[in-house]
Amino acid sequence: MVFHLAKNELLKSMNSKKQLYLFSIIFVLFILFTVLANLNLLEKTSSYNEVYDSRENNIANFSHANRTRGYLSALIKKPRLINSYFTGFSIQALTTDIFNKSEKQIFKSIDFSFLFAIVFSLLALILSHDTITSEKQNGALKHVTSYNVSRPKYLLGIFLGGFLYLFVFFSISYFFSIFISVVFFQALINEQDFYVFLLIYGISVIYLGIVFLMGMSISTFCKTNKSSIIISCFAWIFLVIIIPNTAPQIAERAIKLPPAAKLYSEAYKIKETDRDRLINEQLTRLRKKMQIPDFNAENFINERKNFLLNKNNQARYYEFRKQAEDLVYKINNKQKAKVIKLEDAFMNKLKKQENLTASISSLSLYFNFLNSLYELSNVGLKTGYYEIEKHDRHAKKIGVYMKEKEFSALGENLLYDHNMPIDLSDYPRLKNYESSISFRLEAIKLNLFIMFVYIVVFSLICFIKFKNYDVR
Amino acid sequence: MLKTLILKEIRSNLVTGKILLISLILLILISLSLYLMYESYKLQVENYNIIKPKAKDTYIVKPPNPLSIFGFGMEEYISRKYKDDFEGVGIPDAVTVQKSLNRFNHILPELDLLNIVKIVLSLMAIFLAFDLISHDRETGSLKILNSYSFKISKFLHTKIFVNLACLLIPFALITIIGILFLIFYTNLSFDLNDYIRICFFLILSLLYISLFFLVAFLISILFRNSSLCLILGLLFWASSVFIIPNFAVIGSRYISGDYYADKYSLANWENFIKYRFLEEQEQLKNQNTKNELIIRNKYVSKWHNASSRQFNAYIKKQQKLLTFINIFTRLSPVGFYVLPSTIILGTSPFDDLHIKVKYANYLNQNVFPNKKKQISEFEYFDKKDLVNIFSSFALNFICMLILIVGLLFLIYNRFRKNRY
Repeated sequence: MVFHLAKNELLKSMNSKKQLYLFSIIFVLFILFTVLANLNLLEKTSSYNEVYDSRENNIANFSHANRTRGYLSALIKKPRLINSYFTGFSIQALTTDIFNKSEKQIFKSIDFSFLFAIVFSLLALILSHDTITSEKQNGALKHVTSYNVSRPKYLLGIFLGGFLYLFVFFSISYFFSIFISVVFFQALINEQDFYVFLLIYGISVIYLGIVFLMGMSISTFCKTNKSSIIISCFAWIFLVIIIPNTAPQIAERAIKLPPAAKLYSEAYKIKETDRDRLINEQLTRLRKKMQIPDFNAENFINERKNFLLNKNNQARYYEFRKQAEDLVYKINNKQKAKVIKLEDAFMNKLKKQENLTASISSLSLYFNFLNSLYELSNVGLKTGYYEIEKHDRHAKKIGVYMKEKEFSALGENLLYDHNMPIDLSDYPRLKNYESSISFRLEAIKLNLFIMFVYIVVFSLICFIKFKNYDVR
Repeated sequence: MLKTLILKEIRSNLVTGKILLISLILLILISLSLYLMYESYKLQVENYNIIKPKAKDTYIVKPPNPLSIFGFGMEEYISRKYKDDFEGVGIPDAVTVQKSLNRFNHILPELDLLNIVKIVLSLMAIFLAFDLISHDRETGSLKILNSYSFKISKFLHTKIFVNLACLLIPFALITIIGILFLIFYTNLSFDLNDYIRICFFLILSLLYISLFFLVAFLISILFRNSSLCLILGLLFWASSVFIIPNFAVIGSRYISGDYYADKYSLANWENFIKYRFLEEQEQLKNQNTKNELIIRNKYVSKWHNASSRQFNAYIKKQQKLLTFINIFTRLSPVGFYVLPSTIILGTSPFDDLHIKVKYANYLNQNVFPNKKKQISEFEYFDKKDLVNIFSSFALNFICMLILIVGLLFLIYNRFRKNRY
């Protein structure tokens, strides 16, 4: 019975020219998005190669300890097809390193998440808004219910028939898009990305199913197609636009943060002004203790040379430099730790604010889906923080590496200066910064649970309302 | 007859609760938007008070623009610190951007009046108009009406203007009340120039909503089936609001050979490392202390020249990009509304570029090659800006009027032919 109804519904949809035109337009849109994503990937890859080569060239030819340190730890991510499909949060948006200088666009850029979350959800609503109301309007429902037909089975049949059409169309478009990317644009997909594409496919199908169910449940409440579509669209506006947009603002009012500029100026004072003062004070003390003269800045090189002509001075000076380097390193780290503490307090509050934003937004189906897409594609907030942690650990490694390099340079040449060329070509490179699939699934488990709740709620609404529907 | 028609339309709108529903949604959205955007502006002012420059500073910090409450546009990147360092002139620094740091703002558009009109009001206009004629046709009331002697123009006038008024009047009233509330109950102070800009923005908003309404009305005349009209209306809305503007931006980027701020900033950073390195090598070799300053100036000037070349290339490409975006987005009604509105409100990408160029000139006059003792004050606006604002409004106002008249002509023409 269920399959018979589903088949009827499917045939009805397939015979509808209106729906065929609609699907054709969206299929063209799908291909257009695929082409754009791939062109974007090609552009990003060439830009990545350019930036990477230029950095390596600079490190090889112009590196010295003084200014190259930050340059070594800066993260340059290799572009991937999955991130051209779903852009999400970039790592740059989450950190404040030297590459965090992106320009905002007046029209926010759109990617496949827009196509899935907005265009396909609207399509699912258009397909489902009249599943029950049209039967009510043309009187078919009266006929059907006069027979001995189980109402839940009838609903299930209508859902399967209507949704199957959308499902088949979505599946064809999705896999055809990946096929174009791999065959025509020769985009590389590794094993992990392949599984991610499959997972995203599964979650997108669930999302479309929920939107279809939402349209159906609204349809059981309404008498006419028109009222059904208007209510469906307003529900869509509420879930897609209003809730996610107001969530950050409400969270910002609930958990207030001090202005970012205040944090910046305080951090600057600790990291620069206080640090320089401390270093000066302690170096003067050390110089006095070890009887090293304070060379005149204007004639520093000559005065130091003359001082080191005496062999007794050389050993003392070497010891002084070692202790001074160590002192500066320690003060730097101490001041950095203070800044980190300050930033951590701010970041913890910010994280709380963002968590509240996520909690409010998770009322909206759209956000749960979008967040799942982003986390799975490794461009979500949780996966972003994971990368930042990894990056921070790497930056510390670079710090240790630089210290070792400077000490060995000092051992070789007593006149070594931080501005002298230094070979840094064997610096530790950050190779694997990606989170595993299990980490990503862990990150979206709440979103998946809420989506499951949505399925249960809409199904219950549909069944209860339709079961109690009075045909008269 | 006209009176009867008007009363019938008003009654039908009141009975179906359309006006009530629209007014309620608008009230929630607009009041929420004005409140939240005002709070965001307050945060910007707080940030500004901390980072504003002192007397002899060569960096500038543009004060927050109160008009950004209505259309945020590029405000985040305009009202901030502009400085000249190794990363180049006027590239935004994450910590000096005066907006909230909540990263969810990166993926969602701001809930300002501009976005509400652009997305929600245009959708409402489609909902209001998609079945105004097709429904009458489906129910047969149009046939009955045709059997009476009446003027087509009167019938269409009533249909169009009464329904449009149901949308425009609540919008205009709620917005004006909201603005008055902002003026009287907050610390915001607008001058005459600001009031004129707000009026221009509201006029463009009303025309933009009318355009969507008329397109949906035309679809309703062209097709007999209401659900088909709705699908076509939604398709028009989605393509006009999301797809065409975004594709226009992507297309423009490809044509103009995009040159991001990231690349420009990176190139400057590399130049800086290179010239500092070369300078330090020469300083180490140099035995004569008198030459130190000469060497320094030599490399600073080399770095400055390389940096200026990068800057000019960047500005040129950005201008080209913006010109293309301005042209291509006009394939959709959004092109006549969003960019012009941000120009009027002073939050457009042109403003960002304009300040960058002005600041570079300011630096050339006051800081390079040698810093002047008396640094002149940086001026953000001049009279030319006002002329630009007015010409942008006038041009788009006329374009939208022409489109509206064209649509009305099509509506009358098609209805005369398809009335049965």
